[in-house]
Amino acid sequence: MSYKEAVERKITGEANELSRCRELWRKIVNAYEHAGEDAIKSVLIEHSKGLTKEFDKLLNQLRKKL
Amino acid sequence: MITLKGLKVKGFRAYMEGKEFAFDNPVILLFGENHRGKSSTLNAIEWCLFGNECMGTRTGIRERIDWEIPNRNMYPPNVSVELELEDKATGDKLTISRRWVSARKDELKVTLRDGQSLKGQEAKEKLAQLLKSSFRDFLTTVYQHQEAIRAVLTQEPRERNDAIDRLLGLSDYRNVLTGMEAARLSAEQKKIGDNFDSFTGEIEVALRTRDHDLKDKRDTAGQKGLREDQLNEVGALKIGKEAKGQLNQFASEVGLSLVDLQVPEQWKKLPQFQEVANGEIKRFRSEMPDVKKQRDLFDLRSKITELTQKYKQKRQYRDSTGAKFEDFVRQKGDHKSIGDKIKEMQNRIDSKEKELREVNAKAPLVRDAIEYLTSGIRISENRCPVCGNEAPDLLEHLKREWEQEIENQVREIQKQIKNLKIQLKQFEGLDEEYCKLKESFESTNKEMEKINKQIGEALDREIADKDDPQVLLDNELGRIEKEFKKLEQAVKSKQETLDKVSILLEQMLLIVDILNLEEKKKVVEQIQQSLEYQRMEELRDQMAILVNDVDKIKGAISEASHEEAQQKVSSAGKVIDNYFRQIAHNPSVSKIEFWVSVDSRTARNSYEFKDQNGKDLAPILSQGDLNAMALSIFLGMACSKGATQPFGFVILDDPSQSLGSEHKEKLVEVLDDVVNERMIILASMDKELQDLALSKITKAKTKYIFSDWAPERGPEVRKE
Repeated sequence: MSYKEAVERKITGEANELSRCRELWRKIVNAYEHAGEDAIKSVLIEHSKGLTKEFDKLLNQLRKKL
Repeated sequence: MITLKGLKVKGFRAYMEGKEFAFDNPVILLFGENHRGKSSTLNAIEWCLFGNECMGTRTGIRERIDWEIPNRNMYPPNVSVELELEDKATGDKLTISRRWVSARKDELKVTLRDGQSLKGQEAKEKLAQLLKSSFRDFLTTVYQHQEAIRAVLTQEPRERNDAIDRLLGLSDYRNVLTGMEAARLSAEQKKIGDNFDSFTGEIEVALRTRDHDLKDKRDTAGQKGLREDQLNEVGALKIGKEAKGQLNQFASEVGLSLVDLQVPEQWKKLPQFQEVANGEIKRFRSEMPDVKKQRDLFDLRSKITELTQKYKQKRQYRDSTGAKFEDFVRQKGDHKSIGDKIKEMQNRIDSKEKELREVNAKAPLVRDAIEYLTSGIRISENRCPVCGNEAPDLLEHLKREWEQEIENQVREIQKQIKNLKIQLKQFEGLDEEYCKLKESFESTNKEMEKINKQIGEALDREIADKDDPQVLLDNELGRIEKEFKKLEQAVKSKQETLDKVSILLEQMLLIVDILNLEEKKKVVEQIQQSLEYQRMEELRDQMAILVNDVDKIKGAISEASHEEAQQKVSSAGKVIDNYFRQIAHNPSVSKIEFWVSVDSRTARNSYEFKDQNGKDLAPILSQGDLNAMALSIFLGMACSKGATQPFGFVILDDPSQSLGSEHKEKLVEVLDDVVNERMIILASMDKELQDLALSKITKAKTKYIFSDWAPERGPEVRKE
């Protein structure tokens, strides 16, 4: 059994959480196998950047109102 | 199980010309000094099987980062490696060849026993089917690389744990964990959380500030006479209208026109209305007729005051000049009497000068006669040289006359003339002084006429000689002051009317400020109900979910890695223990137990080696022991019964670097055991290990000697 499958089997949680985590895990593995550790960092940062960027934009908008 | 049967190498790393190797015995020995091509031979096997997978950072081998495949001395590069393999289970034979095309590309060909050739994707699939394992597995269980040994030799637990993970084929878990941690998502989540909390705090502060400001403004409004029921839009507009009405009335009372001033229908436009109204108030204050009169009176008063001062100065000057002139005439006389004196002096000087001339006419005669008589010419001193008559003591007489009469006479006359001239000059000076005083006196009179004329113009009347301009001016000043007082009263009352309008406008603006603050407070209150705010909450929660998911995955990785490590350690543990005790041959260690746990801080595997008494061995292991440990793990993994890897051979590249003689001997004994399970390909520069391998390994051997290396031909290899 490869490490991909081994980890996927160890991921637990309720249905939504499980499918979300597994999807993220597949993305991580895909990035790693294509371009190594740094690519994992990029994938996760990209993921979080989408959230932080929108958050910062909204924060700026509301701060202006304030 | 796959075994190697032969190898052909050309142009690969240290190689130039094509070389062939036959792996025709259970033990293949590659002996030679450093830099003779041994490692390139072993690398060629890896590259042929795994291509670019065995290059770059992902291999975890430092020297592979910038690995070059083609030999630098070969141009154009012509690189190919061919491996002949045999599947022992089926007896199937096949040939794998790989040709280098570029740094990123190579061509793979698999030739089957029946001569069928597979290329491209087909060849890749066939090879994957055959190998059933990754390059990482190959490194862990087939190719003992020096990098792995060196890492185990470190005393730093984290690095050693990492090295053992790699030896156990668990580096993917570790690498993925490292990559995930590098993203520092927890820090990002904290940032979002902190920003959100801080913004919520800002909202609370803003609300408190607005409330405080509102209270202040309402208090001020109360102090300014506004009632609570006026503090609204209706109240503000009503006051605006009242102010406008009062301004209109004022304008008509004073006879000024008001601009088109409209009270807006919305309170927000009241500040502009207030600005225009204030402008009008300012204009009224300066343009109302009484103020204009005040200004004119002020100018007139300044003018009269100035004229009064000027008049006083001029008059004073004229009086003092007149007095001086009169004193002069009284004391020194007027122009006529001084002129008479000058004439008299002139006549007396003329008369004295005539007298002097007469005396002077006789003087040369007497002087010449004296000179003649004293010249030495022989003449009688008692006879006149001019007439020849007898003249006793003529010379003495002449000398006496010269000294006593002529000389004294001339001196006296000259003295008198001089005195007369001095007197004349004094009179002339007096005359001049008289003229100047007269002129000055006349000039001051003209100045007085001029100032009187100016006073007349200012008072709008003619100033006659009998008038006293000073009194006239004082009277005028008195009149102006009275007028001023009257106007001041009138202006004050009008300014007070305008002040009342200003106060109304201020009250109106105060209500506008209150309305503005109420509106701003409402905006702040609405922020927390806004879609944007709710979305921010969602994003914060999504970030928390992401971090939670990542932590969950990290936990799963840690668990899976630990589980696999435990499986491998338990299946290979006995063999590793056996090999380690055999190679290290440490009398104080009769048993080695291999423990794996999870480091709660790093979530990574942590390895411990304990002796027969359950004590930690790490602090007492020497470099040689640690090297023995690394080799034991590698050989144990390669030969354990639980190993599923398909390779029927192990590759050892200079395994004896930190080993002493006894360790080497024991290693060879272990290899003699390993060779029962796997073919051994051993590369070494260590003469002692070479001799031991030749003499102690009981299976048949093929020996290749790497005797020399030259750039133009590559390694010189001979088979023995």
